[in-house]
Amino acid sequence: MSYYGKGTKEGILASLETALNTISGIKFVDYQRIYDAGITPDQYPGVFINDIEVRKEQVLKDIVRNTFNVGLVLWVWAADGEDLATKLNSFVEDVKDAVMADPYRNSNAYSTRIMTIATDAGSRHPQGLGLMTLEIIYFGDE
Amino acid sequence: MAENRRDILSGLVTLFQSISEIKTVVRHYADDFDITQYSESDLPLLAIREPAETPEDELTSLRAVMNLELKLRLYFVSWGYTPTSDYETLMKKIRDKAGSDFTVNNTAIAMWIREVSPVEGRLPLYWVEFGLVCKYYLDQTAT
Repeated sequence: MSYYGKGTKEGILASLETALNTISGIKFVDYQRIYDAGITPDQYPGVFINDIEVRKEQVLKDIVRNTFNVGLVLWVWAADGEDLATKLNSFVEDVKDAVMADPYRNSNAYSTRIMTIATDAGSRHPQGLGLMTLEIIYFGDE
Repeated sequence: MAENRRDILSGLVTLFQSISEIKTVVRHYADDFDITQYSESDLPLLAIREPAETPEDELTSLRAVMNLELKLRLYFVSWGYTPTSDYETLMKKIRDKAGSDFTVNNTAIAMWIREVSPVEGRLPLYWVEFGLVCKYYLDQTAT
């Protein structure tokens, strides 16, 4: 389904959360910072959705083109004897598939693009850390 | 028959305002038009830039045939996969109106649409620019 119209930032974030929760075996997805205790070992693999910035371009008085940059912080946990890099890369693939299954973000966005993936920052057995940045374009009233 | 540009231009505004699909018609000078000051409900919008004038023929008794050379820009919103259908519908309405009332309500000798630019812009705001010539009598003795 394609969608061209106006959307909301909250709708996009909720759509991302829904999409990521479809990944088999995922234990933790959050964008509203409701887990005040942080991530505990039983919550791997997990994704934190980080709302980075919105760049705005006025199209008309009541139409703004928004370029929304979102960062996904990915965590995996490797058991003894498991290859951390393989586990992390496999999870990255799952996240990519889940995110791009609906680039229109439940009829809130014009497009979603994966801009960068970093998998070599902060990983040390048993915890793996990946960073993925998304560029989501949506239109809004402001 | 009109004998000055003022009547022709106000007649053109009235003419294009009578196209039901066109929501707004504005006249403007070269650099003072900002489409972001308009809402989606104001579009399609036809912006008529103040024209150049060239004499075509000098007649007796200080009368002349003048050409008003206009540049018009049509702004429209299209949320579709492509703007083609919206563009074609609007331009057909404009061409039909120009053709059916080429005397601009008896103020001009003739009027015709000239070159039309490609559709520019990107979703959801697009525009197309086209030339329009209005030929009219100028009575240089009129006050």
